[in-house]
Amino acid sequence: MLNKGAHWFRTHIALALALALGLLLLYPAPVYAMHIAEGILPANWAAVWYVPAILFVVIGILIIRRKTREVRGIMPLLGIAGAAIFLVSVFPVPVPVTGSCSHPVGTPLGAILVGPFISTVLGAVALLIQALFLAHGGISTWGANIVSMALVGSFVGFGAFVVFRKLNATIFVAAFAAGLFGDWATYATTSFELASALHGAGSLWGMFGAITVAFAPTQLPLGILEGLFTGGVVTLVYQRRPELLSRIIPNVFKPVPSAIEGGSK
Amino acid sequence: MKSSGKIITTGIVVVIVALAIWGWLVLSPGVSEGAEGPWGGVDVTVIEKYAADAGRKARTPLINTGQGDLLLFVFALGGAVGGFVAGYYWRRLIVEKDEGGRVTG
Repeated sequence: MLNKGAHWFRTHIALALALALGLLLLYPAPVYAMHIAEGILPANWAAVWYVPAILFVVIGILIIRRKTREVRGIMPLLGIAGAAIFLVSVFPVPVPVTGSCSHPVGTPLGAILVGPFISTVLGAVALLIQALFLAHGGISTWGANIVSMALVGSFVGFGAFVVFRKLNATIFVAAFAAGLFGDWATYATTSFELASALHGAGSLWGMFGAITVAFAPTQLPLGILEGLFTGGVVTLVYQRRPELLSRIIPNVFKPVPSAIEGGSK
Repeated sequence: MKSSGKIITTGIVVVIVALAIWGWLVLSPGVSEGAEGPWGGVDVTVIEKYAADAGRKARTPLINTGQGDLLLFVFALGGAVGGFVAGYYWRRLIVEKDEGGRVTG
């Protein structure tokens, strides 16, 4: 009876999660976002951030074309990672004690599931939809938002995951670290983007420090939340389909014998 | 060697989390409310605040969905589509493989 119940829960967990996310997104305006809004950055600075953004997105698109031919079963992972990044990065989370709202970024999870370049592309697509239809970010600031959330979030998260796995951390701890550092790095980059464009005659690093400290009370706990979310999802996928993840990051994911032999049920 | 790696990395993460919680509690009283009151987003309380100090102001989005309940509708639509895509591919990736009785590539 208990096993039946657990099996039902597992098979319906996606539906329940999707429904919960969908319902929570009914939470209306104002849009509690962290993306840099339209018009905040001067045109020259907005253009500067487009350069690395375009470079990494183009490389990511080329990798997607190659991987979809080479790796069987990558499409569902792309779908899950893309949808997760889109949903998580518009998900307003109220932070107790601080009394403010922000949201996780989702790209560290995407980077572990599909690799950092592909995750950058998925993040860029999510940011474009959000900028066009959800008043999240902007078209002129799309490049800056890609760099902070999609690019830095993916690569720092991925790097943290690989380093922690090399140090023999468990899958959960490594993915937790990926979510934690990916989230914090995103906000540090946003702080740098703002400070570099807006410091004027003042000190760049002084303004960077001030903005980072202003973000900290909201983002420190949200980073922990993102770490728990990333750790949970990666552990779940790894227990059920370890071979999919080991194709994305060879030598970091080791096979789980029970899962391969069908013992995951 | 492997178990010591697990213990050390878990310890590092626990220390970082403890420091983060300490930083959160210490820095929180200094957070000022935005114009929209408590529970405002960091886009207003941080980004727009520093931008305003530097003489920059957020512009109306290219497609202004912030009229009436339009934004609510767009959020609902985005949540439904995103949730459907995530659920559909999760089922293809995890559930259908499990129902087959064994995990295959």
